[in-house]
Amino acid sequence: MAIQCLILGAGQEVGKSCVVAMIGGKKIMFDCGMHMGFSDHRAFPDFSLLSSSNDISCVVITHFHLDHIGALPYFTEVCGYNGPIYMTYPTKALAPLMLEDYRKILVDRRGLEEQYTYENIIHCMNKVIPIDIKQTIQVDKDLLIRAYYAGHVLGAAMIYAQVGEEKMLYTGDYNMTPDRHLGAAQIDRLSLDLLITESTYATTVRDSKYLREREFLKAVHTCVAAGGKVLIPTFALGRAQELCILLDDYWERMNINVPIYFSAGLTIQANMYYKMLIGWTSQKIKDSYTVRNPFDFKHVCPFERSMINLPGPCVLFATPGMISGGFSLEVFKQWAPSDKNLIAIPGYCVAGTIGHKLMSGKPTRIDLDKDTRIDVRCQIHQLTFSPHTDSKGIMDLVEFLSPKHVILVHGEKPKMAALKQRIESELGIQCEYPANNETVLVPTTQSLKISASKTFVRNCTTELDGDERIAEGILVMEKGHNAKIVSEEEFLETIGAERNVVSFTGWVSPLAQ
Amino acid sequence: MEEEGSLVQPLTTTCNPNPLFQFDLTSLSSAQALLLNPSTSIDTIHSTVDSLLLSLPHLSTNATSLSLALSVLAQSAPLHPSLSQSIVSSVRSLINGQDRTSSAVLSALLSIATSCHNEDGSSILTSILDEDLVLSLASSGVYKIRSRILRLLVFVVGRWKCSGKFLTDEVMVRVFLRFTGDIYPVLRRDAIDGLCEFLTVARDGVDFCVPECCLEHAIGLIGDDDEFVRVAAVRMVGLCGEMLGEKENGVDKIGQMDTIFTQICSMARDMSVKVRIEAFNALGKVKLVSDAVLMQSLSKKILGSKNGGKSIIKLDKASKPCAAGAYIHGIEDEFYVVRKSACRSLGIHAVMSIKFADDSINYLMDLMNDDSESVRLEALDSLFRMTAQGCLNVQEKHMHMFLGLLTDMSSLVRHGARKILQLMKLPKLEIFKSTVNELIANLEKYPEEEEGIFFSLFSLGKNHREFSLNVAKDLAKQIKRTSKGDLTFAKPSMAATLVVCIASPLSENENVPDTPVVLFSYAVPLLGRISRALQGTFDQHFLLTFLLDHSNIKWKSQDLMPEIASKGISEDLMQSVIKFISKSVGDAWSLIKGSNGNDAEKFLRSCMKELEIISLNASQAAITTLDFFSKYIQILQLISKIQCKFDSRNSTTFHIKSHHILLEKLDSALRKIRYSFTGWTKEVECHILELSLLVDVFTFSLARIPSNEHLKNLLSKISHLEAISCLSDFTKEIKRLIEERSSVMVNLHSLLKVFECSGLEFVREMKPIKAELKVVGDDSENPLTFVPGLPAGIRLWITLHNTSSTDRLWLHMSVRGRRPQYVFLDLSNFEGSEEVRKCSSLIPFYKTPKIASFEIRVCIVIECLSEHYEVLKERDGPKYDVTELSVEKLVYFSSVKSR
Repeated sequence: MAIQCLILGAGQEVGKSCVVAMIGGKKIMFDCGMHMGFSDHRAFPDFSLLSSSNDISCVVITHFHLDHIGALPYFTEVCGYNGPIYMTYPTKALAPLMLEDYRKILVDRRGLEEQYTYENIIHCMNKVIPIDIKQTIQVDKDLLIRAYYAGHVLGAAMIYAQVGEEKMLYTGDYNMTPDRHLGAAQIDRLSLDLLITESTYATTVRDSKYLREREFLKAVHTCVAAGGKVLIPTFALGRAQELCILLDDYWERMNINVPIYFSAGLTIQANMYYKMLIGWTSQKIKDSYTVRNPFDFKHVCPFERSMINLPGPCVLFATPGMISGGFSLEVFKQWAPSDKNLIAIPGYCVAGTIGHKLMSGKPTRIDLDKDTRIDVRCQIHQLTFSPHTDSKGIMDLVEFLSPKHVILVHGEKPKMAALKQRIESELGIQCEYPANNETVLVPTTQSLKISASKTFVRNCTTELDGDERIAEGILVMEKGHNAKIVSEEEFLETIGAERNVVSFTGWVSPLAQ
Repeated sequence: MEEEGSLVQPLTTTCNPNPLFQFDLTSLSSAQALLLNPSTSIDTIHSTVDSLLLSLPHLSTNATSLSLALSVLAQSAPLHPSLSQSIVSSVRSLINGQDRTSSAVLSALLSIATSCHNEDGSSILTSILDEDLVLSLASSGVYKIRSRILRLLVFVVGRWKCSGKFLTDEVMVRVFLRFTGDIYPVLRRDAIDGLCEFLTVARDGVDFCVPECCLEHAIGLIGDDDEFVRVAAVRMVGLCGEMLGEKENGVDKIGQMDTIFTQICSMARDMSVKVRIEAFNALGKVKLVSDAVLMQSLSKKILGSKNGGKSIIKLDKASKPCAAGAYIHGIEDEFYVVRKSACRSLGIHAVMSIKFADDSINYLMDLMNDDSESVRLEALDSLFRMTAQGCLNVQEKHMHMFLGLLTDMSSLVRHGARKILQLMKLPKLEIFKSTVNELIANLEKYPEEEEGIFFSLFSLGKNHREFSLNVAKDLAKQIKRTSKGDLTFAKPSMAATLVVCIASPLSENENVPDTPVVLFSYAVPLLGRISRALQGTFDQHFLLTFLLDHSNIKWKSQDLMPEIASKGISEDLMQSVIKFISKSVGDAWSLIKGSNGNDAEKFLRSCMKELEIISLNASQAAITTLDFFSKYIQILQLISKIQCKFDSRNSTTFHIKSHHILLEKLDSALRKIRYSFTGWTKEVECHILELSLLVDVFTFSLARIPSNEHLKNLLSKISHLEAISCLSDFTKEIKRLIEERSSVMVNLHSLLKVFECSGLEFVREMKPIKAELKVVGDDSENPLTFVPGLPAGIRLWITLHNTSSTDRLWLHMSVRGRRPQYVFLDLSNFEGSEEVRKCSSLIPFYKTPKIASFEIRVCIVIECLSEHYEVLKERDGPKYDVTELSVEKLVYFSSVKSR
């Protein structure tokens, strides 16, 4: 027996996560994401590799990021998948916002052809079955799935799937260290055949978060104290709230009166969802919720487009992250030329975005297109705030779960190779990192139920030998019968043989020495 | 009894050896009811128990009934301890029976044993258990039997020392160790708990191989699938580590401790919160860990061999990554309990290794940013221990965060931070100064913490001699620059800085010659506040002597030295304190004259505060003097206010009314001071008279056109003064002005300038004139009765102190909104001498109102006879102004009808 894994996306790259695993004859699709770096057919996983979209038993989405859910409406509405779709409650609540936001940007701003319509999204989301953390779902007679808390973003989950004796876990994106608003990933000890884990930071080991927080606060405070403006391009959900809690607390403590703005729309709506989904946040938020909702920020004011060029310092959270377009790009164009201003880029940026260019060296000018050129004189602070676990976290999880096989996805090829090396040498677990559209066969061990005779069991409990418990028996496997373990006497009885004792005597010659 | 007998009946028939006889549930529950009922007679209990016991062997075929019967017996054992022994001996034979029987017997034994006091429990078990029996039960295939025998063993091992043993230590340990491999997690956990108990009880008595063996098993179990087994295993690893660390066993101890430490570290990443908490608790127990491993626990990255030459590479390969960043994970944990535990154990190790301390301080300081207060407190506690051990190496980058704690919202955090500052060694003068400033900010924001802050400042100054000397010199310069009247040292910041400056000379007698003398004299008025903060460190008398010795104030040592009162402050000491206060008050005059109204008021307020503190410890005689001073300062406060008003008269709207109110207040305050004390010296009396002259001058200047009455009054006062002593410049000036008939108003300023504040130094041997009133048989709950419109009597106990026979005393009674009624007190009716007069009398109150209930305010007043102008106050009352001698008492009345 084996688990067959078809990597449709996020193989040796970050983007369009999509893995189809065949376990015990059942096909499960984990995540159905899109690649943000492309706008042609490469943006979606190559669904044509599936013989039929309807031989898939179920689709499970780990969290609402577009690289994990972006292709779902396309798969259900265009490719015609009809089966069940599972995601957690927060993901179901937030995913339509993300999808529609992205569709609008694609169609309205970039003037590209849409892959799916608004109606498609609504129709697709109507099919979704929400699940809760640690809730076990019996998808059909054989297939069982369960979600575990993954940290990362609100509602992110790791998905455990089991068919018969074959067990696997798909982590999606996860975080092993808690942050200011989300807890750390939490999982039981499961004896897994296969673990598919993300490996965004396959080789990075991060320092204590306290240090990162201190540096970030210092950079922002110095900038606003000198009258500069701070732009923090983030995705609406997750980092924005994390950093905002941090800044709001700091503002309170240091008595700072500089306004903090959230670019309107999605983020304000997102904050509302955070307030509602308190149960999915960290222990600290849950504790303090009884007194005050920590997402009711004290120093945050709504922002209007006309405020971009107002004098005076401010901090602005603008979407989308990575400065890949939209409002954050608009603000970047205005603020980048002043050396008083600061651009704080939290987390990972996909190659090809402006965020990536800023992070990989300090460019003095950026050519947006052939007509637009931006002078970059502002300071750039790179934050290592990231909702992804670092290599230590991956190793810790792999060690804790001790699966028989590991497949790495959602990472960069050379780093994945290094991590594979470590997992194999340090933990002695077989590990692979297939490229997109490759299939990996993972052998699983088959366990067989055998029955034991009463005499054998009695022998087991009475025969004591020091600290070890040794029981001797004979395994009988007959065709058409269940395997059975019996004691020696019983066996002799069954086959009608008598016991013969052969004894040997040996002599040792004194001359042998 | 008959009823009881009938209930017992079916049970006693069990003596009948009829094998078919079976207990039914009804008779069992009747037996149970009898045994548990506290009023059942002893005989019935005995016969019930006996019949139950007798029936036991017959029940052995019916396991259900037997176990029920046993549980009834077990329940009754705690209520009737005398029966325990007989129950135990009769169940002995059943223990080796069927599986269900044995388990029922064992659970009965357990409940009997646990209900016994002290040693009885285990001695009962010793009487029926032996090695073979225990071993055979422990290896039973039945879970229930195994679990119960294990629980019995855990129970016994807790009382191991005080009872006879039915197992040798070795067998006991072996049985437990066997159970750690049981397939039931509960048994594994119980076995580990039993071993832990054994190790704790037998602590020093065990050979080192026992903890080593336990350790080996525990390490095997820390990867267990069950959470509570892991918790117990981690606890045991910690315990074994602790014990092995203490024992001398000739093994490479550091290597062994390193292995244990890394093993526990590997549990710091467990998914269970309980395991993580236990892991960090256990980490704190393992001592003698090598620096390399400790440093590794602070870094997520694997440290190379460059770290201190001897690296952890020497350890076995698997354990190396385990320790990596354990503490980092701990202090970043989602649950504050884990962070707290990590913080505590971090502190324990930091005390033992300087190198580790240097690194861990970064994290402990970062924890000051934690959102949980209890974590911050724990981190402070760790820092405190590090400071106390001298391994806290503060760097400048930490100070910003740390000093921020002094203005934290939580008082516990502030207190914790100050506690650390008391011991901290600061590397630079700038840091020292900013620390002092932050403490002052703390004082300004939370003045109620003055004592603690002063003590911290004192310790800080004491620990940094050079720095505090520097600050002292700056302060002295500042004092020199300011004019005499500008007493900014009334500000809390000045007081705080003074404490820093005198700390090092005071504690070590060092820096004394270098410390500017002026600081000591400035510290004298703060004596009360400083000595309160330094309670337990310095005696107040010592402090004062020291300050006086080094200040430029002239004094005689014999004033202070002869007898140091053990309780409170001695009279002489008090006098010297008072002397300095009177001097300070004199300084306040210069402020008032200099029209520094606000400063003067602030200063006077702080003087008042001083007086309040000192009077807490003062003797009775001293209290009189202190009382005089507080009254005197009140007068000064009023004068300062009036002076302010007069000054602002030209610039802003002038409210004559408010002046009159203030003048009236001042007048009454002066009356009060004149008639509340006796035994004046000439100087003091003159001074008080001059003050009253001053009031007249104010009134005079306000009236603009003075009446002849006023003038006459002034002149009579001046002549009175002339009679007592020679006239001061002030009086002479007034006399001259009156004689020249020029306006006093115009010369108010020049008049004030010549006014001198002297004579206060002679305030001694004054006696208070006062009265005490006690109303007999009345309080708000049980009021006196009255008939509306008719007079009502009030029974009063009156005590008068230091009144002369010429004094005219009145009882002043008033009902709100009505004219008061005065009753003259004839002193001839009083018993006793001039010092104390006592009298009990029934005083009538005539004008009872026609209402259901009312209250009267009663107090004793004295007529101020020396006020020379006569004012017709009341028809039947005093002819002169009065001032109160007693506290006002409320007398409650309720009409007879309403009763």
